[in-house]
Amino acid sequence: MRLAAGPRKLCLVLHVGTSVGWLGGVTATLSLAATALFADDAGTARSSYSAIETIAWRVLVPLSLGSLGTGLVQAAGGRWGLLQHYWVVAKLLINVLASGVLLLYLQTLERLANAAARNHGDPSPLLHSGAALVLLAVALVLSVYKPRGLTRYGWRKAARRPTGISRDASSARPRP
Amino acid sequence: MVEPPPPVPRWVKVLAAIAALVVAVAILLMAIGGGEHGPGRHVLSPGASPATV
Repeated sequence: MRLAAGPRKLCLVLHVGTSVGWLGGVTATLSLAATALFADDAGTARSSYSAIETIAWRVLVPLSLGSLGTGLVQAAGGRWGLLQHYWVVAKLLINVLASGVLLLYLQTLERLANAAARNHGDPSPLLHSGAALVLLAVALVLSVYKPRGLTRYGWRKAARRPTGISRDASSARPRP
Repeated sequence: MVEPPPPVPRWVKVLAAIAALVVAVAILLMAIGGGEHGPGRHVLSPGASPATV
């Protein structure tokens, strides 16, 4: 089902906004994780872990779920489709993976904040936020470049299209 | 005559190879670290010393 132009653009704005916000939030946590890791005193580490936990709950989780939800609607209701192009599928996998790891990691963050005196040498938050940053950067690149490539499902769907659009043309770049 | 489906693009293969490599490294690190990974590794069990952290 295709969305009308108005709702589709609104959804695109929300998707870009939440995704870029998520990227910014992860960058902030990366900085705080580095501060906690290299802190000389437990107080600084505790403050940093607490800030990471707050950002995770109040910024990262809402934005990641918002990005996932708006991305699903945007893809399914737009011209690209959800499973027809490899770059859309890759972004979906990245989003689900990053959101899932984030949700699982919340408990760890809470424990790190509660036991900062013992934990401030732990590289785990730095590694996790660094990995998240790389994943989201890949998703950003895929969003902008939209590399060509139809999945088998997309190829079959393109073959059934009555409009006479060739498969080459369908793998080109429709407007988002 | 039925047209065969297009081959998987090279960029997809490259990304998949990198993802597989990262997963393999993560599994290796978990094996070296005694399988301690994930939220459970930070849980302090009674009678145990603080895990890794």
